[in-house]
Amino acid sequence: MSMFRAKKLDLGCFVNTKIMRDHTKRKVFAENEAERQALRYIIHNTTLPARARAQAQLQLSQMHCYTRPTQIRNRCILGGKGRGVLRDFKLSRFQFRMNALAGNLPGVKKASW
Amino acid sequence: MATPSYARSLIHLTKRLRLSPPAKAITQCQIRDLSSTPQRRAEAEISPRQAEKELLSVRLPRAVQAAYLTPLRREATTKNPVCDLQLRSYSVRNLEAYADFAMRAAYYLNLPAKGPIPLPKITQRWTVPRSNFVFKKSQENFERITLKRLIQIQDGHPEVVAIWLAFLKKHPYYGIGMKANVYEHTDLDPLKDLEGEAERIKKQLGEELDALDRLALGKDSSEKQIKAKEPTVEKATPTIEKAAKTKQAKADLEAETSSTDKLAVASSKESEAKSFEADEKITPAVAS
Repeated sequence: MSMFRAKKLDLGCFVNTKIMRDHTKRKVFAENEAERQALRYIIHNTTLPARARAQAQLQLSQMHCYTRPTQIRNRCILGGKGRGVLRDFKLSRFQFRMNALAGNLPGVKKASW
Repeated sequence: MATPSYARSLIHLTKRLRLSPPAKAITQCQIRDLSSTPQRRAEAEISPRQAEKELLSVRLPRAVQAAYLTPLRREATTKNPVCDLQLRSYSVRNLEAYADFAMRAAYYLNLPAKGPIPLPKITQRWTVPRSNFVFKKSQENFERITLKRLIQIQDGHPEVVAIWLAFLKKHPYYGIGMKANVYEHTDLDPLKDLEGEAERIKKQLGEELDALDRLALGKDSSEKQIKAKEPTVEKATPTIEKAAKTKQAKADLEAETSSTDKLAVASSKESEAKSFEADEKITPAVAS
C-alpha cells in the first residue's frame, strides 16, 4: 500500500516492485508488532472479561494486513525471486549456484560423497 | 630443510602442520665488507654456498626456535574451566594456525590452556537444479563444512583471561570466527563472604565510615539548623573534611588495585598468585 511506502527509496540491493512491497511490509510489521502481541495476549487470556476479549479480537482483525507477519516472504536479494530462496544466503537457487561456482560464498564448495 | 630460516614463509612457522611441502627459496647472500681495500674484500668474500652453510649452523634465539615447535603450555593447578574459546572456520589451515597462535598467547600470559580440541564438524549441504528453469533431473550438490576448535583456559585470573581475549580480538585472522564463554567461580556461601568483607571495610575505614554515615543522616537536619542558628555551620564543616578524607582513601585503594593488576600480568606465576590474592581482598572493598 502506498501509504506505508517510504517517500524515498530506502533499499540498497536489487530493486523490484515486489521487493519494495516486501520491504514495506517488514517495516510496518516491525512497527506494529508490540500492539499485535498485546491484543493477542488479551484475546488468549481467559481470566479477562469476555467483552474486552471480544473487543480485542475485533481490533486485531481490523488492523491492516501489512501488519501481519504472514505477509512477509523471503525474496532473493539478487533477483527478487520469491520461490526457491535459500535462507542461509538469501539467494534464489540459481543465483546461489552461480555465486557458489564463482566462489563468492565463503566455504561453499561442490560436494561429492 | 635446505632453505635458511629467514627465507621460509610465515605459514611454515607452524611447522607441525605440514600441510604443504616447503617451497624452495632462492638464496643469495651478499656479505658486505666494511674495509675499503679490494684485496681485503676479495679475501673476505664468501661463496653463497658457504654462507648458507654457516647461516644454518647458527642457532636461532630460543623464542624464535619455539615458534617452530609445538606451543608450550602451562600446568593447571586446579581443573576449573575459566574460559571456553571456540574457533570456527571453513579452512583447516587458517584454523590450525590461529589456534596455535592463541595457545602461544595463552602461554606467554601465564594461562594454562587445554590444547585445541577438535569439535564435531558442521556439514551443510544444498542440492539445486543446474538450470535456472525446470529440468529437475540434473542437479548439483554444494556443501559447506564448518570446522571447530575449542581452547579451554582451566585456571587463571579473570582479568588475565580478558586480556588474552582482547589480544586475540586485536589480532584476528581472516576467515576465522571466535566465540568465548567466560565462567566465574564463587564460594557456595556468598552471604558469609559479603559479611566478612563488610567487617574488614569497617576495620579499614574505622571512624571515617561512621563520619560518613553521620553526614548522610544529618544532612537534612543540618540544613535546617543552619537556617536557625549560625554557629552550627562550624560544627558541620569538620565532618565534611572527614568525608573528603574517606574519599581520598578510597581513591588510593583503587590506585593500588590497578597497580597490582599490572603486576599480575608482568610477573611470574608465583608472584601472580600472590597479587591475585591481594586483588580479591581489595576489589570488593572498592565495589562496596
